[in-house]
Amino acid sequence: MNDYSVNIESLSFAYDKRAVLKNIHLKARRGQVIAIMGSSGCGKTTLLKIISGALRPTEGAVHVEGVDVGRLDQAGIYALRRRLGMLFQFGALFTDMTVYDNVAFPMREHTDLPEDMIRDLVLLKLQAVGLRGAQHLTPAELSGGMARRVALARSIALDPKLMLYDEPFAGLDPIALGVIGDLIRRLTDTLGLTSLVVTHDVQESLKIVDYVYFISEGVIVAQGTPDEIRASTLPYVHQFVHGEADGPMAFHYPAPAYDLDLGVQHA
Amino acid sequence: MGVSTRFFFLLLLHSGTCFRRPQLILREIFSSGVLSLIIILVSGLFVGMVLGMQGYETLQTYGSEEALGVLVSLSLVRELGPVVAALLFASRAGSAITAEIGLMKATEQLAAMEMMAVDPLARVVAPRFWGGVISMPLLAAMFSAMGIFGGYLVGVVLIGVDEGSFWSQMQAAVDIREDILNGVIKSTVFGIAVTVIALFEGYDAPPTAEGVSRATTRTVVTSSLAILMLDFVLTAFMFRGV
Amino acid sequence: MERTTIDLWVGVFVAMGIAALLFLALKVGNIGGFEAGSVYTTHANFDNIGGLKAKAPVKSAGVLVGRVTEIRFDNDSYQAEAILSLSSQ
Repeated sequence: MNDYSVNIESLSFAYDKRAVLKNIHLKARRGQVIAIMGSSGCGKTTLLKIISGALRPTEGAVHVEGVDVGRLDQAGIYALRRRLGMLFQFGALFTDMTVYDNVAFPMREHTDLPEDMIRDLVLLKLQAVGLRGAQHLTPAELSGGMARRVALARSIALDPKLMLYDEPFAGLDPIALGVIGDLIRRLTDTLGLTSLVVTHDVQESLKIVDYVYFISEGVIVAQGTPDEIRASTLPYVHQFVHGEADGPMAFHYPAPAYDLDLGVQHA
Repeated sequence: MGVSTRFFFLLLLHSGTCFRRPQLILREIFSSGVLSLIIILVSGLFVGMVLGMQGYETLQTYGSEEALGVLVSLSLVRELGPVVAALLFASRAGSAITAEIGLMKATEQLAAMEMMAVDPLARVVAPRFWGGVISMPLLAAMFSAMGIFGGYLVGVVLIGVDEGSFWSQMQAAVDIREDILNGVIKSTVFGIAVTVIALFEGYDAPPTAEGVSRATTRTVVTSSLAILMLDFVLTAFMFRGV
Repeated sequence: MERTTIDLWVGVFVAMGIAALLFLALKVGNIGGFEAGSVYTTHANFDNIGGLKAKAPVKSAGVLVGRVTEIRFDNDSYQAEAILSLSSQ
């Protein structure tokens, strides 16, 4: 009856009076990978914070896993978050713990499982991201891509229903990029999750996602399947997908006319 | 000030978890107490030795060298022990706490914890608070004991003040409740002040490298000032004039 | 750091702290002695007690025999009255 993991209806959000998100409609069907794209500062991260309950919508309703996030109290939000996983931009691993302890952390905090069962589960999760051999390393000894994979293992530790990814591709080399993209798709399919990927990496995400939303200045300007997006003739989408310097998103920050600024007199 | 008071009460409110898991507090006693041990013991020894020398110089002019034990022990137990140990604690453990929490915030570790439905106040902040509050009086006592030993080394072993009068005059003059207990109360209050300031500065730091380094400096400055002001207030309260 | 190493160090640390407190209380402070043994109390009146305070030692021929437990003003004789607690031996 409810086949949407995330269902956002006419959501608006403003910091003080500055509107960040305007009238957003977004649906994420269970088992899909959804990308939310847009240039930096367009409100993507804010959207993730609203979905995870860190911020409350100013207007509109946000349903996550069937619950209205905006109406939850702190305990309700914490209960919901146990069913969410989130991958932070740079992994956000706990630097004072080993890889193993990082992955075990959510289990130790939220379950009373005996230590040997935790061990089995941790190794299972690490195996899924291919880093079982790195369990005794500390986060400082990991490369950026490995840290991200460990963080991924940690965020699926409690078998979430919905995974949120905040810029999972930022700052990775092409190989690590492919590995992470592949993992997102594979974990979504094998664990039956829904994945919401916030990113500005068009090429990589178009390879793995089922549906794309484009946000610009707080408004959804385009949406569609990867094929529709690639074929799109909308100027903004075209600029974004092909990485052109100038277009609807202007290269120049709004300024008075150049010659006026330089004080050049027109004869 | 108002915000940090609110922070203090929130922290007390969230202390339940860490009392159910003493392992968390033990860890923090290790990082704020055990790791400050060397600096406290060595400084205590030297402060005591200097007191022994300077005190002897002064007392000698009045012909009352036997009172050296009294001078060394009272100044350490009442004032120097709690205050200097707290100042050292602020710069050794306080700055470390601020830097650690500031970095955890800057690298989104605290946000990640919240996303895992784990309250950072209960899991990260409260154990550090109790670790600091438990460590501080113990460190101050060790500082004073080490200092008295240093005064003994210089006064009795090196200069040759009579050993018997050094200890017996000390015992006659130092009162367990008015001097030693008050010293313990002082150091506990300083411990609360330093850790709350350090935790608050870290928790409140802007999540950038610059913000964290500034917060660390502020911790040392603010908590040093707080220690000295609180010391005046507490001494005024404890002062009897009898 | 291993859990057991931390436990060990914290144990050593707390033991050292308590030892330091005990050292201060027993060796430096004036606890012990007559409080525990059998004592008897006696009164002494003075015109002027000078700087005498409660818990000051009472010495006979330079030997510690007791302590001043209380000092109060005697309204009848207008003198200071010191209550001494002396060792029964």
